[in-house]
Amino acid sequence: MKVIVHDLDPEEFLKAFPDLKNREDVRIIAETEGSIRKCIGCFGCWIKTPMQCIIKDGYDDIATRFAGEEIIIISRCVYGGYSRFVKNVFDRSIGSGTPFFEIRNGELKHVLRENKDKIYPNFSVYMYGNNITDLEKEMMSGLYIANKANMGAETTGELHFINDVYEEVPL
Amino acid sequence: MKLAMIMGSPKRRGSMSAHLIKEMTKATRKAGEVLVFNAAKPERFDEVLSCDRLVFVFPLYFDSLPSHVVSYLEQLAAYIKEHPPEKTPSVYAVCNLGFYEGYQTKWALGRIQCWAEAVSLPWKTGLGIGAGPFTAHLPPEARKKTDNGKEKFLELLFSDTAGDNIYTEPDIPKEMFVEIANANWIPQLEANHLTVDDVMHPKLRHENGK
Repeated sequence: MKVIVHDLDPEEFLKAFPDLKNREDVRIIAETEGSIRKCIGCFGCWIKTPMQCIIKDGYDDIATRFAGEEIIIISRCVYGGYSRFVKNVFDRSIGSGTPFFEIRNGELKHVLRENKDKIYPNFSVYMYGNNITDLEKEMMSGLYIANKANMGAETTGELHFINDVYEEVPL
Repeated sequence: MKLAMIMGSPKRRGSMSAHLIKEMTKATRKAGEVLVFNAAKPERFDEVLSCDRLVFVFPLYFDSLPSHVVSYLEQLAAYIKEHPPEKTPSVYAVCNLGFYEGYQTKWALGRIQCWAEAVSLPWKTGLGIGAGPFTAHLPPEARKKTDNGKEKFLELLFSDTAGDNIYTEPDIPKEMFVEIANANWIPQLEANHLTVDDVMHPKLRHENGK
């Protein structure tokens, strides 16, 4: 499964990439279910209903949806990180991991489930914006490496800084 | 000296960020006044900007800022553009995380620095507190590095001085911390009639193919 998370207008995105419509091997996560509510830090997706968020706003199954062999993130670069919606998808998906800690490569990480589908073998990120500063690039590059380490990702996948999603993202 | 503490935890009660704000407020009493704001309520921006220092206090969420703090920063930036403040408050940030290593907050603190750069306010320093939510339960001898880090941060805050980010970790071996932290979840799972196996192999109510 190829999972695409983006913060663009959902209709415009599909108009620009019509080949992605109705593909069984492609899942798109965008703000299509109304406004997404923020994670409230209750840990319910860990200790009450594992993998299910308790906030029933149409995004409560994000931990399940945000998993596949290939993950593509398309986000406006906001102060050296993901935009509100994309970051919210990450926040609301913590149930895809477990609350338990382990030491991986010398530092603490969450224990991942022993299920290949929940490990992202390829994680590509496209950060778009016209005036992304050097400091933002430095912070986003660090964040990208940290994300990969936390998600148990293999070393495949790349981070890209781009100006125009519709011209530069190869979908 | 007037400090704006901007609370970035979404929890209504019992958050580590609220605890840290309380501690810093107590430490500030003789030096000045503290106004507390909530990033979940992006309002009273004029009051925020009337302060001499802005201190963003938040938990680490998935290696970065909680999403509502991103939203707050954008709204505050838009306000600043519309209403250039008379003062140029200095910007500080405090981030706590469950992991042992305070340095894992680097990219989150860096986003506040990027924000400060974008709105032309002076960035001063950040504090990353490893094992944050657990430190309150550790004996004093296991909190030395954490307490020293907090003290150093307050010195920089009160003197309006810039410095490298400060990262802390508990004074116990990493392996011991992992054991303590993992054991902490068991009673919470039991209270919900769940086992470790339920967490490792969840029975989803529905598989969603949306």
